[in-house]
Amino acid sequence: MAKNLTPVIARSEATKQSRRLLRPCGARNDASGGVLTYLLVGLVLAAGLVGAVYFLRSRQPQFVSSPGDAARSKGPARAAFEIVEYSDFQCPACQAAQAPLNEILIRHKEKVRLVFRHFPLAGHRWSGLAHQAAECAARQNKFWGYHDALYRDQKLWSLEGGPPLETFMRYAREETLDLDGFAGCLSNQEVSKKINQEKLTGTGLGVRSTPSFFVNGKLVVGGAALKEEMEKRFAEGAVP
Amino acid sequence: MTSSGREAFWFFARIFVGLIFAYAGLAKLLEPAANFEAALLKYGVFSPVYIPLIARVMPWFEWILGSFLMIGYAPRLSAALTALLSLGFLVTLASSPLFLGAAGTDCGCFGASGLKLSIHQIFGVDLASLAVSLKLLAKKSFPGSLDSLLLKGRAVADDIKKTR
Repeated sequence: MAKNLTPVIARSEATKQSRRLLRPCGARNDASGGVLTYLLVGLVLAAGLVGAVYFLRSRQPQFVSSPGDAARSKGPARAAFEIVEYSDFQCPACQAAQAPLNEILIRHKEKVRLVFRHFPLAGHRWSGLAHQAAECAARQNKFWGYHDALYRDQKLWSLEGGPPLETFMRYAREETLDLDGFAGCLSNQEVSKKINQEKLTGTGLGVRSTPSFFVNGKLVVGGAALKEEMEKRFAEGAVP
Repeated sequence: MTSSGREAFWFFARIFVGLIFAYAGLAKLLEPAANFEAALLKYGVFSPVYIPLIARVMPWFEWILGSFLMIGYAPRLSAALTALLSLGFLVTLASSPLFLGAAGTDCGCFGASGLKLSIHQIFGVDLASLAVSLKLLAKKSFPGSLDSLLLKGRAVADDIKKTR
């Protein structure tokens, strides 16, 4: 009997200890109503803090066209559907999303316009450089070929020990870019600022992971979800 | 130091620790979770399976606990939890290969666009947070806190009851 009592006493001590931590400083034990009010205040505060985060997220900048969109878009200007893609060149999920995205573009080329937006993720080692290179290609109106090369060989350049400058220069040669202009552009701070600004705009729009797409303004996250969303829209014959 | 001087010191220390936690949480909550995931991955301490969950849950804890500590709601419980979190951060930092190898790397604690602190700098901040949180845990009163206001309100209500 006494043997069984010990854990009960220990548990009750632990409960007392946790109550002591939660109790307002100096409050007395008899105040059960006071404790309830106290907990209620905590709940209201926590709800307010959660609400504040959602409010701040909603106050971030709204959808605006980005300078450079024209060089990074394809499809009819007045297409029924505009897909704005926020993507990271070093993100494997973004690479995987290219297949369903290209399928949509090929099957519905008269109805869909695609706009690419930079969203290099912090922690992806060569992502910033890859986006800078792609933006430099865009400045010579060769964005899409360069974009395809980056995704095609993602696994190769991602694993390079140092900055994959040689590889990126090779893609520039393959795309017949002006190599001097391209090399100068790779270290241009103005270009990296623009890329970061575009990323911040994406964050403001609610982009939390890559790839994220806006289909006529509606946020869709991931390649599979995009395929599903577009199939639904085409099946419904939905034209905005 | 006088008694009121000591109280003022611990008041500001509580606000400081609360502010650090609240800012770290909010900065990450206003950014894509993928940014924090990438930062966590860098440490090479957590299994990639748990990283998405940690990246989504931890900032909420930091934001709410930090704010509670600043406001002074359940300050002892908040201090106990911030002490636990600080200890967890210290263990993570110390056991990461980055701690010795690339300590100049941004710790990623305040999101990708927030305050940039190196691994060693944030280690110092976490150490200070742990010390302050432990001291707060032992304190009996928290001047300038919501708790002291709530208690004052209760004391007045009790006095009114007694005079009736």
